[in-house]
Order: sequence, then structure tokens, then C-alpha cells
Amino acid sequence: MPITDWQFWVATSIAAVAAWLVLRPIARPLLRRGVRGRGRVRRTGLTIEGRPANRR
Amino acid sequence: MTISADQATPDADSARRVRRVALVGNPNTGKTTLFNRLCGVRAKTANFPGSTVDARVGSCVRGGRMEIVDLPGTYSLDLDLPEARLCRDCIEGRLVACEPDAVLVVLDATNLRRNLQFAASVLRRGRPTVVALNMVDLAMRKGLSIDVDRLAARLGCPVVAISARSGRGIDALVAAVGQGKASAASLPEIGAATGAWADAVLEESVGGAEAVGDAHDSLTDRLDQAFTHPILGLVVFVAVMAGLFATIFWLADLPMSLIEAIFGRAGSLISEHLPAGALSELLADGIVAGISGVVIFLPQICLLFFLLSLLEDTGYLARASFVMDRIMARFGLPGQSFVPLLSSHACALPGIMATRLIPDRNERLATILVAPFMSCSARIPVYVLLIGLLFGERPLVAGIAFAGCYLLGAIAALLSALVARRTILPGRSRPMVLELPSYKWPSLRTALWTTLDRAVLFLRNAGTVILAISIVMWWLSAYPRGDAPPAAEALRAEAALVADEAARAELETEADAMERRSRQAQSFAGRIGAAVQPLFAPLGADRQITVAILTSFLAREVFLGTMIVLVGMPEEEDHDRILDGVRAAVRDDGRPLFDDATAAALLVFFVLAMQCLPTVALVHRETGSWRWPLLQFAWMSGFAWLAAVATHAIVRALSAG
Repeated sequence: MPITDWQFWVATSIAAVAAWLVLRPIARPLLRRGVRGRGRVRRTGLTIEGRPANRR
Repeated sequence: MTISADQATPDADSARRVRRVALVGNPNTGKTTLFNRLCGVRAKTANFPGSTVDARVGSCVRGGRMEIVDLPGTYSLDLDLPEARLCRDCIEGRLVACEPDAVLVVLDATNLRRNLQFAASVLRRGRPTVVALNMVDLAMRKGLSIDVDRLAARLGCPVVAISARSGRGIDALVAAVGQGKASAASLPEIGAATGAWADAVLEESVGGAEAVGDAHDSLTDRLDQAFTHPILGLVVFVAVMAGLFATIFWLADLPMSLIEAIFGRAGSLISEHLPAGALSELLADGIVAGISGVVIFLPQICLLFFLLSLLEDTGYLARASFVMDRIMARFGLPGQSFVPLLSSHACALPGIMATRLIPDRNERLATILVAPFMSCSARIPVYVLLIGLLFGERPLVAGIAFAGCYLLGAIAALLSALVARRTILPGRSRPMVLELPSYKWPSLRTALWTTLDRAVLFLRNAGTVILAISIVMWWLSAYPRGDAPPAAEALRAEAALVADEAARAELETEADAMERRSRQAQSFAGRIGAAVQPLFAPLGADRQITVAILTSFLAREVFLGTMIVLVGMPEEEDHDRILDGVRAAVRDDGRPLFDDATAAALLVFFVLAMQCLPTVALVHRETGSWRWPLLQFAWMSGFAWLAAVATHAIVRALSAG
């Protein structure tokens, strides 16, 4: 691995961010479940681009 | 027709604050056309977490500070269906962040009896309400005469006659929304009384129910005799859909080639002008290739939704669903599934997005699960390569094999739907209750807004994931970096001594390909390929084919590109030379890379396997869960593997015999 090449580290950082974007939908619910416990009932509301409609 | 005089300028107080207005109505009453007329480009797609129904929210562009929530169409608020439940909860103020200040009920002026019953169910809920009497121009053409003032008096709320298509009465409607009030009129309870009440209202304001009944549309009746006929209707449907897809393929070809050329040139420019290194490779092979992989789908997606929207607007799509319902019901799918499944032949992504037409959750999920079985355009280059290897000398057999691939995919989809509906997604296909709207000229404006909406949604939802996956795959294929193999160095040294330019270029190309193959084998992706090879050995795949299969899980068309790299040819090579190159390619042990059994097994695998990560990402987004895309991936790929192993064994036995 070209660990002395600064370009390698920039490219790897970008790839890591991309990997996080791909894995985030799986990771986020798992992390949330761990913090807040299982079985939380979510009320149905209206969201626009993932945010509640009245908080835009 | 008399138009209510009770439509003054907007109330000054209401103009100062943002009012949330819920837009409700029966399906096909022109709700979306009215929404687009009111909100234009300021609309955003919104959804209700935990439900499969989505809505659109927009700011009114016609004065009066209003936020309009376009709720799904429903025949009644009192049904136990997702769309009815959602409308009911919203109007009754039970939804978080969606309590409306007023309700705008859209009624179809040409079909008032049932629409009035819906209006009564909204008015009973006591929310300030305004009624938009839509399609008044069509009603007048049918000879109907509606007294809007009397209707308003009977309903106990403002009624405004409009034509959302032409824009007539829209300003008056916006003004009236500020004056909406809870109905004080005497309204019927749920049940048979509602029908009698609607008849009485019609008697007063339209001149009797018979007047509505007599105002039938003879053109619609005559067309429906053909379009909803069990056999003729099917013939018309096949012809319309064949025309639709031929148009999509024909029209999308040029912009797709253009996009491919532009991004190809952009990649070359980056490679040529930026100093060599990881960043220029990431830009050219990861980011530009990733953006290209997103944008390339746009022409097909835009054309599909534009043409479907036009068809829907004419009223034909309702007839098509009605005709197909009889056939699809045998496999546990509703008639509305047919259009998404057919759309998936172009690309599974718009097909899956088109499943939003299906109101029932389980039916929609079943359609989403089987849609990728349909042979999409990305499979075509792979079919061409593998069928060329199998039947290159026999064009007729090759043509039959090509059609057979499409048929195999469709059969697998229908059988999988049947299995899903009898196991994990149970429930009888509910009888399709569908009102056939009158035929009318489609609205170009509505079609354009729908197309724009879907394109933005695709870019935002699937696009970001496709780009991210491309970057990750580039990194896995690029690292760790091995040294160039000695054989490649020797070829380069030999090329330097050759005087003939063509011969030198050929040697250098061969050396480049050798180096690429070696680097690929040493990369993380290559090592994963070598580790996974035993899984694909029963299909006859060696290390090189396994790498090509693995990369094709990113997107199927990548298989061809990987094979070209593996056999050492430049990508611009023509099809016949690629075929010759692949046919002549050998494995590490010197045996041919593809024998008949391997090519046939791979063909079956590619027909049935789930090899499109953008589709996985979109299914996750559409279903709101990872359970469904993972199940879909496991089912399709497992089924494909078993079928391919069986094919390999059968072809091998036949060849030996």
C-alpha cells in the first residue's frame, strides 16, 4: 500500500466517506437501537426530505 | 352553469400567515393537475414514515401564503385501506406535523353522485372545507348544468367551479380557501343515507340524477367497447405498450450515447491533463464513471414517466390495468403491476418507482420483489456476448435464445410472485375497484412536472448511492498496488525495438492488458474473487470469470467491460472482434475460458440473478427496510445459482452424449 503517498490518503478518505454513505442506512438503525432500546413505536408523520414537515 | 358570486379577493388576515391545506378527492378527479397548477416547481415529494403511501407538499405560487399537502386519492375516507387511513388521519389532525387548517376537496363535475358522497364524508369531520368543482368545461361539453350556489348552500361550504387543466377559476379558488369554514349544513351519516342525500343534492343543483346519467360520453363508451374487451383490449394493450417501449428505446438511444460520449471524454481529459496519481484515477475511474452510471439511466427514466403520465392522463392506463387484472390476478398480482413489470424491461429502477401506482402494500411489495427478474436493457450486452459464444454461427437459433431469455425472466417473475403471495406476502388480490375516467387530451404540463419530480427523486435517492458504490469499488480494485508483471515489462521492451507502428501499438496494448489483469488479481477485489471462485466453480467459472461475475454484481453491464479487460482488448473494439477474443481466451491451465456448458450456465445466471446494486439501494429506499432488498437478493441470486448449476450439468451431459 502506498502509505507515503498523500494522494492515497485523500482517495482512501473519500472512499471511506462513500462506504459510510452506503452503509449508513444499515448502521444508523442498529446504533439507534443500541442507544434507545428496542421496540420503540414511531408515530406516523409527514416528512419532507427526511425532516418533519413543520421544522423545515 | 352559474358560477358562485361568493368569490372575492383573498382575506387580508389569511394572506399574512401560512395555512396548511390538505388536498383530497377520489382518484382521477384531477387532484394532481390542480396541485401542479397551484404549486408548480415549488413542490417537494414527501412521505409518511412507516407507510407505503407518499404525498407531495408545495407552496402555493398563486398568492395567499399556503402550503398544500397533496394526499393520495381514495374512494372513501371510511375504507380500511392505507390511502383512506392516511387521508382520514390527516383531516382529523392525528398525524404529526400534518394538521391542516383547511381541506380542499376536489370533485369531478362529470361524476358528481359518488364524488358528493366523498365530500359529505370530509365535511362530517368538521374541518374548514372548500370544494373545487373540477372539469367544469368537460361537464358543460357533456350538456350538464350545475348550479354552484345551490350546491354550496347544500354542502354548507364554498364551492368554486374550476378547470385545473385550463386554469379557469384557480384564482377564485385560492381566494375561497382563505374563507373555508366548517359546514353547518345537515349532512347524512355513513351508509345508505349518503346515496339518497347525494341524489337529493343532485336533484336541486344539477336538475336530477337522471341528468347526470343521461350525460354519458358516447365516444368513451365506443372506445371502451374495444379497450376493455377481453381479447381486443389485450391486443390494443400489447400494441400500445410495444409502441411505448419502442419509443423509449428509440428516443433514449441518442441522449444515452451522448451522455456516454461526454463522460468518456471527461474521463480521458482528466487522465490526460491531471498529473498521474491516485486522485486523477479516482476522479476518472471512480467519480466520473460513477456519475455517468447515474446519469445514463435518466433518459429512459424521464421518457418512461413522461409517456406514462400522458397515457394516464388520457384515461387509457385505467383501462390497461382493468384488462391486465384478470391475468395478473392468477399470480396474486393486481392489474396495476403490469405497467411496472413492463417498465422493468427498460430498467428495473423506473419499474420499481412505478409500483407507487399500486395501493395495496403486499401487492406492491410482491411487484417490487419480482420486477428485477424482467430482462432490463443492461442485460442485453451480456446476452449478446454469451449467445454469440453459444450460437454465433446460427442466427435463427440465436434469435430464439434471445427471446427465450426474456421469456425465462418473465416466467420466473410470475412464479416468484405466486410463491411470495402464498408465503411471506399473503392475502387475496383485492378486487380492483376502478372508475374508468372519461377520455381526454393529456396535459403536457402535468406530464412535465411528473417527469421532473421522478427524475429529481431518482437522482437524490438512487444517484447518491450509485456514486458512492462506484467510488468504493474503484478503491477495492485499485489497492493494494502490485508491481507490473515481468512478462508485461518484457513485452514493452520488445515493443520499443519494433519499427512498425501498428505492431508496436499492438504489443503495448497487450502489455497494458497483462498489467491490468495482474493488478486486478492482486487487488482486494481480485483477492475476493479468488476466494469466492469455489462458489462459482459448479457453473464452470474460473478465477477470471469469477472476477467478472463479482464486478457485475455492481451492475450487469460491467461484466462485458471486465471480460474485455481480462482478454486484453481495448474497449473501443467492435463486437465481432470482442467475440473472437473472448472465444480464443484461455484459463490459467490452458483450457478455453468458455465452453458451451459454462456459457449456457452463465446466460441462465445473468437472466435470473439480482446483479444491480442501484436496484438494491432503490428497493431499500422504497420499502424503508433492508429486509426486502436482502431477501430479494438472496432469493434471486440463490435461484439463479441453482438454475445455472443445473444448466451447466445438463449441457455438459448433452455435449458428452
